[in-house]
Amino acid sequence: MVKKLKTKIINKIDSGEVKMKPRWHFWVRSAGIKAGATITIMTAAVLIAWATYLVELLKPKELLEYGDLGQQIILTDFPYLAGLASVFLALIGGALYSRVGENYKKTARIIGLTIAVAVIAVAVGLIVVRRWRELEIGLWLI
Amino acid sequence: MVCAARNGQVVTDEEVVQKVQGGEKEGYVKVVERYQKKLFWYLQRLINQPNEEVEDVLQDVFINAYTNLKGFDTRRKFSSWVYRIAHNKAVDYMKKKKLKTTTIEDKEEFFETNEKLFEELAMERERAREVKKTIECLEGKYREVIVLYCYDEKSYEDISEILHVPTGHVGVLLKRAKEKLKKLMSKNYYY
Repeated sequence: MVKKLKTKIINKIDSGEVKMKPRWHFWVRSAGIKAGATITIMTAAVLIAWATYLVELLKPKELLEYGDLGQQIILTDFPYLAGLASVFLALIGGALYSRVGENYKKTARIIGLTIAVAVIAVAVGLIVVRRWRELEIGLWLI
Repeated sequence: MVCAARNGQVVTDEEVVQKVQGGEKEGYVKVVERYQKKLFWYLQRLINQPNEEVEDVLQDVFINAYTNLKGFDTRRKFSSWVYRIAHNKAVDYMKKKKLKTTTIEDKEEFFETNEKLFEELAMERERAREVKKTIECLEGKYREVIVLYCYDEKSYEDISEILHVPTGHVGVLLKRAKEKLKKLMSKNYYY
């Protein structure tokens, strides 16, 4: 068995039937996974920021003054899709993140926490930047 | 990590692999020589098929390892990496053949033959046979962790790298595997 297997493998290597993949192949794959994780997490954060903007446009405090009708409008126009899409993308981001380096050694809880913190931090950053820009534009108009 | 002496110098697996990555194809023969026996028995315990089938899977393992050799980081442990490839190939094979259970052949090397009475030795062999048959009845992940820990003597860290699970989870899997084994042994539950 020993010689037979060795000979078969070496013959395949020498004949060129089996070739080593070049280093750039692995670099591109690794970069692709990292880029995929980053993009999905950023998109999840953008969706959350956008959802909060839509909720602000609804003006829920004013609508609640109208009682049941106001509540109905809030429930109908609430951006559920953005919220669901954000959760879905965060899960994909988490799955990709777990494939980066030795992240498979981390528990699902740690990975989930890392992704959640990243998404919330970026979303909060985007909301802060938007409000600051609105303030700037408002002051400029005045 | 397997080392071999060459001109009085000890050469690690990672050093050999580094040379193969650099273009010394002949060095790969050393890798095959060092791991074929270990991986053969590892695959045999997982898939439990005739030797020819196991050799085919083993060949796939070495070819796959060679193809992806440049993706291996020589700062890490080569044995864990190659065992991971063997694990993946075994899983693919079992899915393809829709295998659920395995049988493990009796191996003389697991028995101590010194200082044992004949009756004790016969009882021990029978017990070992029972344990091995019971291991067949375990689910894939529990069977794998028992094989790697008890037969291949891998550490928790190595098992974590081979199975791609957190190190803490390896201990949990092993504990559950032993509990299931104990339960099955007490029921005398064989296929």
